[in-house]
Amino acid sequence: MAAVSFAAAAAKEKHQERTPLQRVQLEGHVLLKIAKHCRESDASLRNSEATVTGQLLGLDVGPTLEVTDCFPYPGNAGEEEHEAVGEGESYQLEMMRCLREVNVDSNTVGWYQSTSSGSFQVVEMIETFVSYMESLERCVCIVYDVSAAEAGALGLKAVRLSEAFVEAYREGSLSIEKIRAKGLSWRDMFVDIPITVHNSPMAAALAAEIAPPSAATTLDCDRLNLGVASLLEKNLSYLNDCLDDLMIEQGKLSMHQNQLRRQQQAIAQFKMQRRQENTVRRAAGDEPLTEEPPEGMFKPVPEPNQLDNMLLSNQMASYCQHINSATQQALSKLKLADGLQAAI
Amino acid sequence: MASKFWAASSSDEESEDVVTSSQEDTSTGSGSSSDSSSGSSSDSSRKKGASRFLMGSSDSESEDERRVVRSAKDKAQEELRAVCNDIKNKMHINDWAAIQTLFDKLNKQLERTQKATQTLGVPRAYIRLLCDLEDFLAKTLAEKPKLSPTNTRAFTRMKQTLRKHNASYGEQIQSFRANPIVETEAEDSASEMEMTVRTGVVQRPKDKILLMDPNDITYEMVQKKLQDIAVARGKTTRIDRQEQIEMLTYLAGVTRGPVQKVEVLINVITVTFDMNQPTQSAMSVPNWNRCAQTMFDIMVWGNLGAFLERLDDEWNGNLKARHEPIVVADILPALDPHANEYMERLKDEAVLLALAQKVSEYLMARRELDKLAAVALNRIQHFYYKTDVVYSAMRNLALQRQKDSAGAAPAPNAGSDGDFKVDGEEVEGATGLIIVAIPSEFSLPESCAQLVDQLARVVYVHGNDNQKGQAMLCTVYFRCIHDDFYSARDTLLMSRIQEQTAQLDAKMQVLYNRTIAQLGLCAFRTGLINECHQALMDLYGTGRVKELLAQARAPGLHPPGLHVVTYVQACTVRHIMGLLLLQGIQQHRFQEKTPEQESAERRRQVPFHMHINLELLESTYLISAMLMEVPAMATLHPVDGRKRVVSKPLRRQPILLLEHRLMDNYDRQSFTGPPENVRDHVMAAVRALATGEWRRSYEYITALTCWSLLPQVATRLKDAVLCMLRLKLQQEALRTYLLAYGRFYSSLSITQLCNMFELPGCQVHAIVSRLIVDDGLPASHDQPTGTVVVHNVEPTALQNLAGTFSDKASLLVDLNERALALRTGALHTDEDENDGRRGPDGAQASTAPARVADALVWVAVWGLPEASVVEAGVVVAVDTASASVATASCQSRTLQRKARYTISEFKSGVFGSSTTILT
Repeated sequence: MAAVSFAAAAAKEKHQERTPLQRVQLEGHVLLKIAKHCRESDASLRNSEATVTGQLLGLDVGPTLEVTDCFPYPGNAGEEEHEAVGEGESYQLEMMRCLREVNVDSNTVGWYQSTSSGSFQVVEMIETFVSYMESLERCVCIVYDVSAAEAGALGLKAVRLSEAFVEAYREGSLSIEKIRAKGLSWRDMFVDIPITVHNSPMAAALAAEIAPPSAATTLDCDRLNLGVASLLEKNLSYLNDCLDDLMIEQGKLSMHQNQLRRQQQAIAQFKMQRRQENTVRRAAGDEPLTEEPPEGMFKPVPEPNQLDNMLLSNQMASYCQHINSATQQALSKLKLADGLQAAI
Repeated sequence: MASKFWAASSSDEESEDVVTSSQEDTSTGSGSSSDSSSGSSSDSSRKKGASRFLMGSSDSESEDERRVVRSAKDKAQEELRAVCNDIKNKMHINDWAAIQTLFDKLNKQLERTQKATQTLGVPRAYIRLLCDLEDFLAKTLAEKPKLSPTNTRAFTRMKQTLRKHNASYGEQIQSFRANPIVETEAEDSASEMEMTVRTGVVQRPKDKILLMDPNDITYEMVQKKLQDIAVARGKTTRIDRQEQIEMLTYLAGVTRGPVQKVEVLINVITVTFDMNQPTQSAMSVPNWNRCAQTMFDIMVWGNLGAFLERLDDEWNGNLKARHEPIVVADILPALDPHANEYMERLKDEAVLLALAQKVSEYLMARRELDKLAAVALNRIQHFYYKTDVVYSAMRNLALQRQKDSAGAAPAPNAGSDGDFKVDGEEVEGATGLIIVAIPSEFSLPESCAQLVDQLARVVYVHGNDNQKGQAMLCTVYFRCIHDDFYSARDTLLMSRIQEQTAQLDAKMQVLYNRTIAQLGLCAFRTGLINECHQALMDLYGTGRVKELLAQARAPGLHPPGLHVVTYVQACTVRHIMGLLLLQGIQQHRFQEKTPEQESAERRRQVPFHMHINLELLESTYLISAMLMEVPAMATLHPVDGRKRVVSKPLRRQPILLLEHRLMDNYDRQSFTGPPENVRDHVMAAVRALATGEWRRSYEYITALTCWSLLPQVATRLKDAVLCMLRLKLQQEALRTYLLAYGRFYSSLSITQLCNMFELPGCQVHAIVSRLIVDDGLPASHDQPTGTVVVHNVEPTALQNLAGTFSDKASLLVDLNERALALRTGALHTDEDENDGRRGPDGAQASTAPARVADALVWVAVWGLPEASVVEAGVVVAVDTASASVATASCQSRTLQRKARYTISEFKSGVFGSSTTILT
C-alpha cells in the first residue's frame, strides 16, 4: 500500500496540472481526531468562539486527495500572538519531522478548522488559502461544524477556493467591474469537494463487531424531538448581524456612487467651462485648450472592495442552508407525528 | 444779474447798484429782465393759443434757470465763507498744520466759486482772509511763540506759500487795506440783500397769484401755473412739494369751471403720491387724508358733471386702482401697533371703504369691469380677516362718522380752502386737521359674509387669474374664521391652487399660508384634529412660521432670504388633501441680506391688525400633534422597555418628528420645572397623557393663556373648544392607556374604564373594539360580564428575531432599490432587463408573506446578480438576503406549526400516548 502511495506520489507531478480535484478521501481515524480536537477545544473555549486548527497530511492521487493523517496546532487563543505565530511554525516543522521519522505521510495537503454554525467564510480564511496555494496548488480545508455535531449531524465540509476567484484576488482589490468582467459571483468563491470516508478493512471489521443493533429497529422517541429552536435562533441572530454588515457595505457603495456622481458633475462642469473659454479664445485667435482635465485634477474615487460583500453573501447562504435543513427535518418529523396520530 | 453782481465785486458802488436793481426787479415784477414776462402777459390777450402758452412757458423756464444759478453761487459762497471762518478759528489756537490744509481747501473752493459764478473776480471774504493771514503771519514771526515740530514745519511752508500767493492779489489786498470798514458794511448789506432775494424766490409765486383777488385770476393763469408744476414734477432737485400741493389746493379753489378744477385736483393727487417713495417710507397721515378728500371731491364732481373728459376718467380709475393699496398697506406697518395712532388710523378704514364703494359704483356705471374687479378685490381684502365682532364694530364706527359728517357736511370744503391760503408753516399744522367726511350714501350691509360673497363673485366674473385666486383665498380665509371648515376646505381643494404654489408671487403665497393657518385653526375648533394637524404641519415643519406668515420683521442676522416653495403632499385616509404649500422662505443663515431684500420683506409684512396669533397657532398645532402622537408613542415605546412586534397597520411613521425631538429633550432634563411657555405646557400634558392621566393633561392645557385669544371673544366658543378638547383627551387617554398597559391585565371591566375616563359606555366600547380590530390590543369582549378579556401572548425570542430580520431585510431591499434608482434614474425601470430568469429563490418567494414577497419578486425579476445593472455585490447580497428572508418566513411558519403541536398535542398527551402505544 505504501508503495502504491509512493508511486502515486511520483505520478502526482504530471497529473497535477490537468485533473482537477474531484474528491477528498478522509481516513476514519483522521475524522475522529479532528472531531475530538474540535469538540474538546470547543468545550473549553465555548464562550470565545475561537476556532481551532490543525494540519492535514496526506497524498495527492490523481483527482483524489487522500488525507491520511493530521495533527492539531497548539491553541492559538494566545496571549502574545507574535510569539505564538513563531512557536506555531516551529512546532509545525518539528511535528512534521517527527512524523516523517515514524514513517507517516508528512506531505501537507491542507488544514482543518472548527467552526460554529458555518461562519467560516472570512477574510482570514481567504488569506490563508492564498498563502497555502502559493506553495501547494492542491490543498483543501476541512471545516468541522461543532454546532451541527451537537445537533446530531456530521457537519463536515471540504472546501477550496475556485481558480477564477484566486486569480482575481491575486490581481488586487476586487472591483465591481472586475467581478463582472470575470463573471464571478459569490457562489463561485468556494468550491465544495465531496468527502468520502475510508476505513481500513480492520477498522471496518472492528466497527461491525462493536456496532449496536441497527437504529432503525430500536424505538427511540427522542429522535422525534423538535430541538430546532435554539439552532434557528442562533442562525437568525447571525443572519441579523450579517444584514447589519451588509447595510454598512451598502452604505459604502452608495457613498461611493455619490462621490462618483459628484466628480462626474465636476468634470462636466470643467469641460463646459473649457469649452466656453475655448470659444472665447478662438474668437481672439488663440490656440484652444484641451478639454480634458489635467492629470491629477480629478483623482479617481477609490472603490470599496467587494470581498467583504461576497463573503457576507456566502455566510448568509450557509446560514440559510442550515436553517433550511433543520426545518426540513423538523417538518418531516412533524409529518411523521401527524401520520402516527392518524394511525392511532 | 448774479454774474453782474460778482463781476463787479471789486468796486462797491457798482455792486450795490446791481443788487438793488435785482431786488427791485424780483419784488415788483418789473425791471429790465422781467419786461419780457410782463410784456408777454399783457401781450397774451392779443396773441392766441399755443404761441401764447409757448411764450409763457419759455418765460418761466428762464426764471427757473436764473434761480438755479443763483443757488449754486449761494452755495459756493457759503462754503467759502465757512472755510474762511474755520481758518480764523485755527488762527486763534495757532494750529498752523490745520491752517495749511484749510488754505489749500480754500483755494480749491475759490476755483469752484469762480466757476459757479462764471467770473474771475475774487470774493471779498477771501481777500479779507488773505489780509488777516498776512497779519497773523507777521505777528507770529514777531512773537515767535512755542510751536510743535509739525506746526513749525507747517508755519514755514505757509509763510512761503502765502508770500507767493498774495503777490497775485496784491492790488486787491491793497485796496482792501485802504478801506476795510466801508467794505465790511457794503458786504453786510450785500449779504442782507441776498437774504431778501432768497426769500423773495420763495414768495414770488405767491406774490403773483396768491395776493391777487380770486376774481381776477383767469383761466390762463391757472393753466400756466399748472403747467409750471407739471414741468417741475420730474425734477427732483429742491422742489418743495408741500408748497406745490398748497399751491394746487389753492388753485383748485379759484379755478374756472369744473374741468379745470378736476385737472388741478388730479395734479394734487399725483404730487402727493410723488412726495414719498412707496418702497421706502409711507405717506404721512395728513397727506393721506388730503388725498382721500381730494378723491372724494373728484368723485362728486365726476358724478355730477358730464364735464369730465373721458381721458381724465381713465386716469382716475388707474389712479385709484394703483394707489389705494399702497396707501393703506404702507401706512400701517410704519406705526407702532400698540400706539393710539394706530387705532386712529384704523378708523380711517371706513373712509377708504366708502371711497372704494364710490369708485366701484362709478366704474360700474361706466362699465369698466376689469377695473371694477380690481376694486372689488381691494374691498375684499378689507373684509376677509374680520370676524363678525370686528366687522360690526367697524360698521358702527362708520355709521357714527357718517352721521357726524352729515351734520357738518359743508364745513370741510370751506375749511380746507381757507387753510390753504395761509403760509407754509401754518399749513403744516392745518393739514392735520382735515377730516374726511364719509358721504351719506355710503352703506355697509349687516352681514359681512354677504358682502364678501358678493364682491368675490364680481371678481370671479371680471377678474384675471391672479385676482380670482386672491379672492378665492380670501373667501376661504373668511369662511375659516366663521367656522365653516368643510366648505372652506372644499373651495380650496377645488381651486387646485395648492398645485401651483410655486408660481404664485410672494404676496399671494403669504396669503396662501395665512389661509392654511386659518384652516388649521378652524379645523381645530371644529374638532377635526387630524385635519388641523395636517394643515399646520408644514407651516411648523419649516420652523419659520413667522416668516411664512409674514408677521415678523426678522432680525438682521437671521434673514429669510429668497422664497423657496416646499411642497408636501399630505394624504389622509378619507380624503386626499393635496394641501400645501408653501412660500417657504428659505433661510440662508448667517448671511447678511441685502437692503433690497430687507425692504422687499418689509413690504411683504402683514399689518398688525391682520396678524394671526402665533401663540394660539402653536398651541393648536402642538395639541393636535399630541392627540395623534401619544397613542402612537405608546405603541412604539412600550412601558416595559421591551420592543414589541407591532402589527403593520399600527406601525406607522412617527407623525411628528418635531415633537419626538422635543420629547427627547424633555426626557433628558434632570429636573423639569413648572411649565412656562406653550411648549412646556404641551410637553407636560404629553407626559401626563402618556400614562393615561387625562385630568392632569387637561389641567395643563386649560392653563394655557391663549384660549382667551380664540377669535370670537364669546365665552361660548371657548367653552365649546375646551369641551371638545376634554373629550378628545379622554378618548386618547383611554387609547393610550389600553395600548400601554392593556397587556398587563387579564381582564378589564368596561364600567371601570368608564369611571376612569369619564366616558359613556358605548364610547369605551367603540374605542376598545377599534383597538382590537387594529391589532393594538389582543383582547375580546365578554358581553355577559361586561369586561374585556385580554389574551396576551408574548412573542418568543425566535419570533422577535424573525421580526427584526424581516425588518432589516426589507430595509436593505429598500436601500438597494434606491441605489438602483440612483443608477438608472427611475425606481421601476424598463422591462427589457426583465429577461424572465428567475433566481433560485423564486420558488421560496411564493411562500413569503406579502411584504417580503414584493422584495423577492423584485429580486427574482432582476435575475441573477451578474446580469443586473446594479453593482453585482449589492444585488448578490440582496439575493441572499431575500433568500434568507424567505427561509426565515418559511421557518416562522414552521415555528407556528411547531408551537401548535407542542401546545395542543404534546401537552394534551396525545402525542405521548401515541408513542407509548408504539412502544
